Amino acid sequence: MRALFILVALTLAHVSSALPATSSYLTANDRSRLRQVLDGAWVPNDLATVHYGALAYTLLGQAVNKPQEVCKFLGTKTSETNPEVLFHLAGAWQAIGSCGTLQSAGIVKKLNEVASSDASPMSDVYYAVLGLKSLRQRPTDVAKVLKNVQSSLKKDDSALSLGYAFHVAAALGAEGRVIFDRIQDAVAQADEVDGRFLQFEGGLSITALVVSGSFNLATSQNKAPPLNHEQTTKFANYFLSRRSVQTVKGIYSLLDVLSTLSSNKFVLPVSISLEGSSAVSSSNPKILLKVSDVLGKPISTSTVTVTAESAKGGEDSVVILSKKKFEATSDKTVFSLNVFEEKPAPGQYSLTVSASLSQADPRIPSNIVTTVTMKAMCAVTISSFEIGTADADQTTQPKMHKVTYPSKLPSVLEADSQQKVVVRFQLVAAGSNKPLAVHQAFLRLWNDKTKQEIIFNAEKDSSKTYKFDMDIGAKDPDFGYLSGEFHVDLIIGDAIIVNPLMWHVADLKLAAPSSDAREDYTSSHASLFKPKPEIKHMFREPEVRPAAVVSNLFTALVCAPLLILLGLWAKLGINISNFPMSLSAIGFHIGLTSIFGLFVVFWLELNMFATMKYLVGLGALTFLSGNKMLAHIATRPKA
Amino acid sequence: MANLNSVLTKFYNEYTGHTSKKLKIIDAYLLYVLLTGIIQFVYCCLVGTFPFNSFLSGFISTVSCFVLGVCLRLQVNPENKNQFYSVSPERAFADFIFAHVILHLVVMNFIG
Repeated sequence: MRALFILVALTLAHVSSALPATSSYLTANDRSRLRQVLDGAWVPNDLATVHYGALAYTLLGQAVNKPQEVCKFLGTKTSETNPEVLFHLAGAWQAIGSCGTLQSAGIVKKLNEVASSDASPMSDVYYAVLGLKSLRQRPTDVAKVLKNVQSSLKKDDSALSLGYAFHVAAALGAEGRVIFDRIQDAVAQADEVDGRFLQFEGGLSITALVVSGSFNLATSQNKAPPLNHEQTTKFANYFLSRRSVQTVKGIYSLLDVLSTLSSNKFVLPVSISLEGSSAVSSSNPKILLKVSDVLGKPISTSTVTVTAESAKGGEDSVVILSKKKFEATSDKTVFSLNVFEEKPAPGQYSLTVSASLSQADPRIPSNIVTTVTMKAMCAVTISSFEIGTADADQTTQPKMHKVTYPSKLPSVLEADSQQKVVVRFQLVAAGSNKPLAVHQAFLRLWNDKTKQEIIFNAEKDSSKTYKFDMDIGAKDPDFGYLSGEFHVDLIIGDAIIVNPLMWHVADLKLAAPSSDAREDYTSSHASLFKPKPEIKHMFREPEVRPAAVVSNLFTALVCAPLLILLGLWAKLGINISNFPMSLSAIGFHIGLTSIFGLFVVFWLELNMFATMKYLVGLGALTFLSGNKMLAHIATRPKA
Repeated sequence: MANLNSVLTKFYNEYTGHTSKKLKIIDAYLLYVLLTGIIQFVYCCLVGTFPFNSFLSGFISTVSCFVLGVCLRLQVNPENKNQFYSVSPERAFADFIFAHVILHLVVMNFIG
């Protein structure tokens, strides 16, 4: 099954023969920056820092700073029993190399105990075995250690745990082969980012641990690891993207894994990168390409051939060259090609390059293809420039004056607010007569006395002729209705031109605008800064009321029918003398009157609740007395 | 015109002669309420409805009093005895008073 998988993987690798290369390598600048970080962090009071720092210094080919002081510090730690401390101690002692002989018998005994104990977690087994390796010892019971490692992997097969296991197995030598098959599991856990990077969750140190462990184990077994060139290149891309690492452990991890990748016998990631500027121009016609391993060393002792397969780009993505060989230079890793003799139109190009070896190398695919971006630059010249004035209503043909760069129009242009200034110009790339469009083409009007400047955009039409019309009357607000003498400057700029320029074309004298336009402007400006009127709350206007006479008249009118009622009743002859002088009758009438009196009080001042309270009492009295009175009337014989 | 005159004269004579005194008292009350309502309405047409809730409560009060008065008259009238068999005139008067108390509580609440 696995053999089949490897076969498939190999076939795939063969089919996609155009394998990418990394686009960067660890430059001398990177090395000196890492060295500076190390120097800043090199304080001999933390064992892990001393250990990784000493190893990183060694990998950078530098001597350790202040070795005596560090050795003294290490000497204070020899009686510790923690396997991690002992691992760092042994590692640092060996890396510094000038601390004399370490009294190692006790340490070896302790580390052997930890390595063959069932209770030790994977990390402690790693510290113990690697610590013993630093002391040039092997664990006494190798079979037991491997058993521990395998049972730990059953419980936890994360990338970190697998990385520890690979290092332990590599340190054990031939017996570590049982772990070798797990490399595949580890690689399967890697995450791909953007199709460019492969990394493990947990970042640089875990990724470096797993990758360097895999290659160390493969080296000790002398068997190629199940990692193809593409995967290795993606890992290398990831490591190189972390060149700005700031921790000592990170620096050690990065340097260690990059040196493993550049020196192992199985896979060699290749870096193809631009050396120096990516721009070519008439003064700098050559493009330089560096082909190296990830540390910037030559990839092979045999001759490397670098070919520019094609270069495509510019304004209409034309192909400007194909199958051109780069020339070797004095530096074995740097190749050069004169792109400019192909006369590229100015613009961005993507250059496809391939590298191949005259003598096949199993570590490198036969053909490596990658793409680099470059740009062709040109000098710009102004082929024609005309400036003039015309009436704003376009009744007359503009009167144009030709100006040639870099001289200035000898006469002063005059214009007033009824006129407009017209500018026409065309740009060409030096040495050709094709019109050129640039990113930035501006006209600047600048008043020398008031230091006032206004910048206008010049617009180009389909034939790439730049036009600029300035209607002075309409633009008056931009000038603040000023008049006077202005410099007219032309500003040309672009990323693909080597000579951005600013040219004083002419002097323009603006006549004073009409005085009322200026007044409008100043008054509208002044009112902007005055306080706004205060906002006051407005109550609703009351309705118009009738005159008091009308109201009183109608009040009297409304009361009048009462008199009619009393009159009518009197006429009908109400029998008041028949009024029963009983308690109930008096109580009823008093009660009823009080109720209506209460309603008047309710209207004038009481609220509903108080009214209800009084009404209950009065109502009860009226009801009882009324009931009794009416019952009495009902039983009375009819008169 | 003479015909109408004779009809009115006959109607007046019949009314004064055949209507009981109690009913006449109630009719006088109804007339009073009617006139009050009309004067309020005239004021509203001439001057305006402001304040609207006061006008409404006053006007509705007269309309309601008129309706209650008519109810009392119907129940007290001996000719309608068959329809209001179980309602004695005293009971009708008590209902009339009770309804007025409630009505005027609401009117006073609404008058503002």
